Amino acid sequence: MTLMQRGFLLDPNRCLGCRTCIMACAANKNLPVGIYLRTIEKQEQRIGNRILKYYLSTSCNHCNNPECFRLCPKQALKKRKDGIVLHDSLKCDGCGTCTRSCPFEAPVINNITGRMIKCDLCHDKVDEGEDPACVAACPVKALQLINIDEVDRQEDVVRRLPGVIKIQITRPSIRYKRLKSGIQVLRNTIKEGVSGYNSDEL
Amino acid sequence: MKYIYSNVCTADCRGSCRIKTKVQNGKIINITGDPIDEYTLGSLCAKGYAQMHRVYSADRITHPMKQMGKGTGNWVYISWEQVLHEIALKLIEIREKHNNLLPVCLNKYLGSMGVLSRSIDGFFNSIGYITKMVDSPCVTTGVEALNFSFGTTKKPVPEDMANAKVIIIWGGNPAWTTIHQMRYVYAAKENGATIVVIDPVLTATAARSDLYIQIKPGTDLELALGIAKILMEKNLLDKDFLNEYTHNWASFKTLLEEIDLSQVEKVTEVPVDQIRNLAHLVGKEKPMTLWLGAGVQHTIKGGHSFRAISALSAMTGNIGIAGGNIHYATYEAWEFAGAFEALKPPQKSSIDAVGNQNNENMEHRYVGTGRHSQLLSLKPPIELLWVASHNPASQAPDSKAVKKALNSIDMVVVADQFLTSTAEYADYFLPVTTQYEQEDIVVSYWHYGAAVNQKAIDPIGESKSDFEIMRALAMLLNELSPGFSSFPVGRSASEWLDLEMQPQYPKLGINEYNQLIDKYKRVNLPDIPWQDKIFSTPSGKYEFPSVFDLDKITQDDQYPFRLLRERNVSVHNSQFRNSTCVKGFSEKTSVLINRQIANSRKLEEGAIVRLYNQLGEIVLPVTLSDTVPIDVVVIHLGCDYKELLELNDLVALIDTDLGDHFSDAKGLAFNNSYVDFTRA
Repeated sequence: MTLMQRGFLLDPNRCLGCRTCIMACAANKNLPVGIYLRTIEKQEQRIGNRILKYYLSTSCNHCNNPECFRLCPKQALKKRKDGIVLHDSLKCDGCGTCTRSCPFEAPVINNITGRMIKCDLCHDKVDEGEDPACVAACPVKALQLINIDEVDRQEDVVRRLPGVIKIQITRPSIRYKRLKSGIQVLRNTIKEGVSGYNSDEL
Repeated sequence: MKYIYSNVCTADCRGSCRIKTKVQNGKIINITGDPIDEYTLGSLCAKGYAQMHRVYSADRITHPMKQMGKGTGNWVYISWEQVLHEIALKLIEIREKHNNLLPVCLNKYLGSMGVLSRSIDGFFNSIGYITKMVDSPCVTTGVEALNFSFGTTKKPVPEDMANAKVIIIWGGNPAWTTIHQMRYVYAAKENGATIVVIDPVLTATAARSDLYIQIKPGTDLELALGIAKILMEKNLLDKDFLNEYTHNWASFKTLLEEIDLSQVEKVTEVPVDQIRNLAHLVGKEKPMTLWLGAGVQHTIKGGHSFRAISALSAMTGNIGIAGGNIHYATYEAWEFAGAFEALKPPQKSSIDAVGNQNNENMEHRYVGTGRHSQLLSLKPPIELLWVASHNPASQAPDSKAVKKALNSIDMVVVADQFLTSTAEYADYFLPVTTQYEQEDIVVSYWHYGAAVNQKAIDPIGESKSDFEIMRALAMLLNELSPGFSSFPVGRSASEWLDLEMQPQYPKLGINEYNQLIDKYKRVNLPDIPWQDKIFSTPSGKYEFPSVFDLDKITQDDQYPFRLLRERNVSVHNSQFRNSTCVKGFSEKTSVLINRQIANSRKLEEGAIVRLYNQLGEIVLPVTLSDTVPIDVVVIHLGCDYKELLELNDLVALIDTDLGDHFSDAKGLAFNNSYVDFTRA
């Protein structure tokens, strides 16, 4: 058990789905064309007369119990004291055990080196007190670097949003702001008179 | 050795983001947003970061080519010397044959916002009176609407949006097109503002709003008039502003009295009680600001819709105050010296062989951008078309008609970086540098930041900047036919930039443009426009419109679905559509169809459909979505389907209602086409 666990906080009420985080990461790490360490997934659900639409930005979740770490035959993964899961590419032979075992499909094989690559939470920047590239580049501060136990006490923070896979066994170090939705006046939909416009929490 | 250069994105975008470029051994190894940029705060968009790969992209063309037969794909290498020679001879031949250069047409648009891209116009001005494709098919509508109401277009600085208590984003999707501005939308929201989005489709922006109104497409005018009527009836008016600073209120009021709200509900499909709620919000919460989007502008009533929407600001006195006004467009930041624009053909050419024509009686012939079919009926006909900074075969309405026009013109020259859809119909392809390979300056039309773009690397292959191409052609022409061009070929790029920037220096507080390299400087326009409440209209006041054409038929019932285009987050119109780097995370090209409609037609997610209308058909996969109403289909083009699909095959060339009073042509109603579909 680590003393501290670094991780990400995503605010779905701010995320634009703009993909800046994906490319800021790729540019920062000089990744080959077509290799990304982060994904954006659009979520769209209809609940009654309300349509939920939001985006999930996901990278390596630096799990508290990482499967990649447990299963890597070369022991190429290690977990720092601050919870960041790092990968030693010199030990890696690109067998892909980690990519298959990760519930979040975070590790990818770099087809140039033949070895695995994944988000290292820009630990070099974090050690200098800076934000990871994805966090720094987000134009609307939808993504934040956090200490997991600090935000877990906050009421508006949840472990999952609809659309996030339910696997919690690895204890992923990502949290989400509770999703809010405004009032929607959709066509062909009759609505009762509405008094205020403050966003409802869902 | 590593060097870091200052660059700026030259795309036609509100951001005009400053970039820091790291170069090692003559190659770009990394780009980041420049943290000194006070608008972007150092973040680029996804496309911006992908630019680095675009420079070195395998499909970039970096040497001149000649196509042996348009559309054949049979391209052969040609040297710069030879290609310019062949083009120069054509120009000389045209002038000899016609005694003028009207058969030469320039189709230059907004591929680069760099100041030096004006050299293209400058070159053509320097050789004679030609045919020019001019004006924007987009903003001419909106600018003219606001010109009628305000006299000119002015806007607040971007951050003033954070002062609003109500923000109405009407027909725009800044979450995907103007990402940095969303910071100010959220800041306003944190200060208690209500964010309203009015859009036929639940966009990424609409999904983040406090109040989303799903309007029937093309009925913006009616909804605005409905809101205005309620403001009037409920006396939610700023009487002082109306009395002191507006003109024609009495007549507008009469017009509003005739508006039947139940009819507004029927047309817009927004329930009357919701229109009332909206009117109360507009009338009671101050300041209110408006974001006027391209979605409204691209309809046949777009201009009058803008006038009616802007009237809501005037009725409630939300003009000239902090947190109010309209965030739309302004040209105020673009006061350059106009040296390229001012170039005139040499006097020598003013008398033709017969001596009965001279330049003093001549002027350029103008055709609206995107109206390529018109080129075919001109007398004398077009014999040489020069396309720069533009991809009309993809971006202009009715792609097939554009291609037909390109195909029938004797010589088509395309200057670009990639073999675009337009280049397929070119006889010559001239490889143009990216901004990293040339010096330039961009002044943002949105946040007014002025940025120097340094030359970070040498041109890739044989690429040349548009400026170098034009200068080389001018030199060659004068060699072959002395006095053909008055282009001052001795002047360097940096001398031109210095010349064009002269009027900007005092406004930026500098005396040399390189002082912009390490400083974020803005053209010093007022943070809030119209504070003096003096408008540049004939009356000197804000002018309400008197007449609206409410009966204009919008529905072509032959095809039941209105076709709307949404710009994909990862492309910039047709720019970046070929980017393999962006392709991996781009939302896939698909047609969004309402889930109920798809079910009734037994179409599952991913089914391939043939989308068609009177103009043609395209084939693409279906995405089922509740965000799209039942009478609309939405297409956002991604990076796949590059060669296979031109969305504008289905978009008819239809005029908007405004544009030709202050410009040469009306805007184009890109959102007024209808389609049907079947499983392919």
